[in-house]
Amino acid sequence: MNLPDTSSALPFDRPVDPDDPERARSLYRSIIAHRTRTLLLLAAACALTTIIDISVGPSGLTLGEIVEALFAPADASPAAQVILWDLRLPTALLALAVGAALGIAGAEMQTILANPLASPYTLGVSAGAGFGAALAIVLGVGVLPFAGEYLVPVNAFAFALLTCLAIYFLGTVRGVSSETMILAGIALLFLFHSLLAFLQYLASEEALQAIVFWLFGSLAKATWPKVGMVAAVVAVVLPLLLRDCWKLTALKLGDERARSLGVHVERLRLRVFLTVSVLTAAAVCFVGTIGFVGLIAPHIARMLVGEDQRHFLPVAALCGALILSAASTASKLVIPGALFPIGILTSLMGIPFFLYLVVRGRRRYW
Amino acid sequence: MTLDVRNLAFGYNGSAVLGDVSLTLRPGRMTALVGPNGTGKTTLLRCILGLEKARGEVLLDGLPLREFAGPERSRVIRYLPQTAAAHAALTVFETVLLGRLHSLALRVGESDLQATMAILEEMGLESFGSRYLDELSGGERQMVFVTQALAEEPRVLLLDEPISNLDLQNQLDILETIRRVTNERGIATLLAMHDLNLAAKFADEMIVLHSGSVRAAGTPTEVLTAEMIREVYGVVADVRAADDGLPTVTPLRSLRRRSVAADG
Repeated sequence: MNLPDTSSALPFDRPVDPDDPERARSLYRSIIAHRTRTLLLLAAACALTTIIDISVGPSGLTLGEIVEALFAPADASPAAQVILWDLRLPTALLALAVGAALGIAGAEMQTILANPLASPYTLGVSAGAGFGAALAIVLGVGVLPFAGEYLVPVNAFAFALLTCLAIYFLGTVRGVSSETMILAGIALLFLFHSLLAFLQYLASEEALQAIVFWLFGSLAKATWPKVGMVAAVVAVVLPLLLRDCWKLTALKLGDERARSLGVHVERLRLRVFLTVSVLTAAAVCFVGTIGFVGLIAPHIARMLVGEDQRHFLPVAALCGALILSAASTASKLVIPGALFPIGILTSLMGIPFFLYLVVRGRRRYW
Repeated sequence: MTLDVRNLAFGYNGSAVLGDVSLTLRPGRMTALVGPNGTGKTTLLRCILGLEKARGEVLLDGLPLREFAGPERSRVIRYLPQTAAAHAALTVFETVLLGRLHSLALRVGESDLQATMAILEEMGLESFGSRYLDELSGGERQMVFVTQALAEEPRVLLLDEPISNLDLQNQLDILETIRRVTNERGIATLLAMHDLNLAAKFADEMIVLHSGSVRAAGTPTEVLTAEMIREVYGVVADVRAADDGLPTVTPLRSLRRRSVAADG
């Protein structure tokens, strides 16, 4: 086949030396090296935004006080200790954990549903969680009667999970097709928005305010147990998904091609969807509706490292973490002294950047 | 390996799509599967592979195919589906590597890397390794998927219209490549396609599928007759032997169009 030479098109493209016995490994390394660098850079960027995130806040602590409270808590003032350890650190780490969870959830939803618009928000999972939360806020009705302070998150978790299961079972009515699952998700999104509006109509002034605040999305109620729970779910789910990394990569070539490679597509789709459902529910139940991160993080990851899931998944997680961590910092700076709802910021900050990537993007992935 | 299909039958919702199809694919032989649109070519390929549950038997060297475990089956038989262009952000090297899916782990082993490089070099794609799929032309991309299908050294190849939507040069290149690997590697190849002249030129044998049944089978000279084309395709054609002895089909007119015109 007479193939035109356009080898200079790629930054890491290079001719293969036929006499090099290591040529397979060196070609593979040239592909992998760029991705590993991107992964490390993103991890460093996350560390940096986290440091900035815990350094800023309405209390006006100096950097010295922060460092002292972090590394020598015994010497720090009680106020600095409380602000850092009970407020800023849990908030900063919850931003990372939730961002990572949303990034992974969006990446896998887009992969298994073969749709660039799939995300926890666009499929109605966040709306389901919001309805669950509103039920608890307005009527005090919970799926677990004695959930106490966790009544709202437990309800949100249960309804997010129920939404995912409903999407799946509605999608299976005519075979497990990604189109019906997406349509089911969009239908549920509108259903929950209507139900939510109905609850808001019924709600007292005070409850209405609580609902609206929840729907804005906020990291304000971060605590160590919440950080631990979300981080634990991410820590369990990521290796589970990476076990199927090659099958998921193959799925991106289309259902039929994946089948031809021996992938049991329906079984894989079910397994990954259930795993991602738990992850999504855990991510949204503590922080409310944070749209956009789950949609955009996978797109950025795809543009940065491609869709080999071994890199795509961790990079989508880091992109999600980075966006939410940066938004967490910004939410403290918008109105000095007040915590601006983060859900508003993620969209406002991210969309221009996202559109820039879409317009400038050279490749067509969809 | 010889692949024997015996009395394969399949239907959707009570209506028969395939009825009692039998055929044999022999090592090193390329068989073209031709027939009008909607006649069951893709369904037949999917049934042979086991993607559709059909009645009848598929035997590999005399052993029922369903007794092969999933990974072993997809290693021995490779299917190249006719699907829309894949917009995946994957490099050529990764795409071909995916052809060895069953042996891939989180850390890719040396043998998988070497085998992928070897097949890329054999197909002349080695300088394309780090290029992304969307940077290739349609013909190049199809060559990558043919290469992927060969990555685990299959014994049987089922290809569903691999040259549709390609220009003439790419059609010839792909078919020549498929014929070369079929002969050199002793693969039993079944190729669904529409172009009767290209089928006659490249295939050792032809099978004509009509309304879910085998209407004719044999060498291109035996199969390609004006009578068969009239009956199966509803087309009046002139069939002559070219200088190399192979039949050449010149379509003259469609019988359907004539009757519509007559109705009008």
